[in-house]
Amino acid sequence: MSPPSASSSWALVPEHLFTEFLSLLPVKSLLRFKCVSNSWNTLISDPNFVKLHLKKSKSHNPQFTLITQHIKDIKGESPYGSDDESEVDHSIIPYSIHSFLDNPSFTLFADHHYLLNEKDCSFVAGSCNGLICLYGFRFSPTYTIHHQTHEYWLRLWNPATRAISEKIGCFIDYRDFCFNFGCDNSTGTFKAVASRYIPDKLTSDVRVFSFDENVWRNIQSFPVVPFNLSGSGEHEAVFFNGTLNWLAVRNDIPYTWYRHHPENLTVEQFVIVSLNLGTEIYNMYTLPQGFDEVPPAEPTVGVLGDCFCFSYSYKETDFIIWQMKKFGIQESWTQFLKISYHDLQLNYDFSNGTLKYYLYFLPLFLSKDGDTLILYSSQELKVILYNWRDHRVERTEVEVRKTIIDDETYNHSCWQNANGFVESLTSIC
Amino acid sequence: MAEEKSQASSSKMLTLKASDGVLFEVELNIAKEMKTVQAYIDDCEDIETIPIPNVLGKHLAIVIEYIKKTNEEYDAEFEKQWNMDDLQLLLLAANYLNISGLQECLCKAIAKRIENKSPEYVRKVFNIENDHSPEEEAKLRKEYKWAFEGVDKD
Repeated sequence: MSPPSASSSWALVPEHLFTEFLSLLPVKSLLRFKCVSNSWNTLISDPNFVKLHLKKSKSHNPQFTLITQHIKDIKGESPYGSDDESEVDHSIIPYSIHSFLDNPSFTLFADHHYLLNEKDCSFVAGSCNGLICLYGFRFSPTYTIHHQTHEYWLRLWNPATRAISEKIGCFIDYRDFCFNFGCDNSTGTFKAVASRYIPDKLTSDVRVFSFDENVWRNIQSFPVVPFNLSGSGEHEAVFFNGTLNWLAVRNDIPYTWYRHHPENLTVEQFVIVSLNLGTEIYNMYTLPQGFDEVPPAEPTVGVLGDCFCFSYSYKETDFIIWQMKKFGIQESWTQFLKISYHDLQLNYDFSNGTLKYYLYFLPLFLSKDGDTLILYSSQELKVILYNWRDHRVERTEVEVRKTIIDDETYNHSCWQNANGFVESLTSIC
Repeated sequence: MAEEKSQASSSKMLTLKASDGVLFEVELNIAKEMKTVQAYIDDCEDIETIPIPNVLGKHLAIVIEYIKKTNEEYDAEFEKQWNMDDLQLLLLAANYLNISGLQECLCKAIAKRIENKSPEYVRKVFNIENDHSPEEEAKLRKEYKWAFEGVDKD
């Protein structure tokens, strides 16, 4: 049998090979190639292809989303500035981790289609498998003297395909609800969680929205109230392996801001509250045994290198990161890094007393080879690249602009809300 | 005893015969990277010349060299040397010989080549007939108008 001649022999290439190299293409190319033929259009929309593409995307092109804030001052008529206003908008922008590591100082343009106000949404609940869940709210016309109510809604958005759902999961209730997002690992069903702390009852109102069933369901309140529900606000739940996870502190008295009373806490009070999105049941996990001193600033949980991690400032000299090598197994907590502030080329003067309560670091991502840590420094409001093998430190400068023309909008990055992301063809319905 | 045998077999040479009759002498451990050849050896233990009917000598030479030299640097430079026709025949060869590393490398190369191209270019390269109706195609082009920005000119 003689070998095929080149020009016509693409027809001899089996379909699974076409699928192989097509699944390596970025979403933009695939959407364009829907035009090639009917069978390519069918393949690109096929749920199995979408799954394969997602898997490849996760391993070949890990990304993150950066949230940016845009503030525009609008001068009023009064010469005293008494009727000046600010217009606030946010963008959420996906970016490649490899590109960031290659060139960590650059200007990021917040393209039009990443803006949230346009979508009538205020902020991000979370992201999973290439979809971002946004939420919005407004004061509801019905309010009483005792409380104000909000009307809430969700929108499911795929920034790579630019598809976005209508407003779904609408409900009216008290203000101060927090939103989170993830998916049930076993079925792939996307779910959102809305929660609100009820301080006078020392409990919480928690409900789950299933995007499949299109309905909110009340579930049990948190067994222990998470940090961010009761006022500190900055750190969200961490989605990992089909669960949403919060850091919490067992307390019998109404919880107040951590940074005002850390001396009243003991290490034993700290716990991780984990909500399984499949069963909608809570689990609780204890922290590493080596965590033996209550840190001055709030510790954080996150995901690093495919492991759930826990990190905090240690005394006034180091930053420690633990990884739970096997999620849910207490004994698998392993200290991953202990980084001295000196190694990060930080020379803080802690003598003024309050700095230690505000200084925190957020480990954001790890490079593919695991050697470089991308770390957010609250004090510098910057991201630091730290290669822990060579002890190399690189400070980054990411400038955000809303448009090429300077329209007097003040833009800045909210690195503390950065999250892992993956580009996908996942459908929003 | 087993150790001696494996030492002997690692330096054993094998002959591969391409479709156009070109012969290649390769070490056994190189040949074993081609799972198809490995299966052949498993079936007929004493074989010395293995026929490779689907692959030209030119391409078999490239495949053998790849197996010998493959590493991250080599792979990055490797794919730049070949045109689409070669890539396609190499892909068929890698698939037939069942060498997953090479197959992955070639798929990445092909994806890179077409990433920024127009649908017209892609149809031409892969010899695909456009069986969309004009209305269907227009609808898709309108819906994903932004995906056509910045595309290489044909």
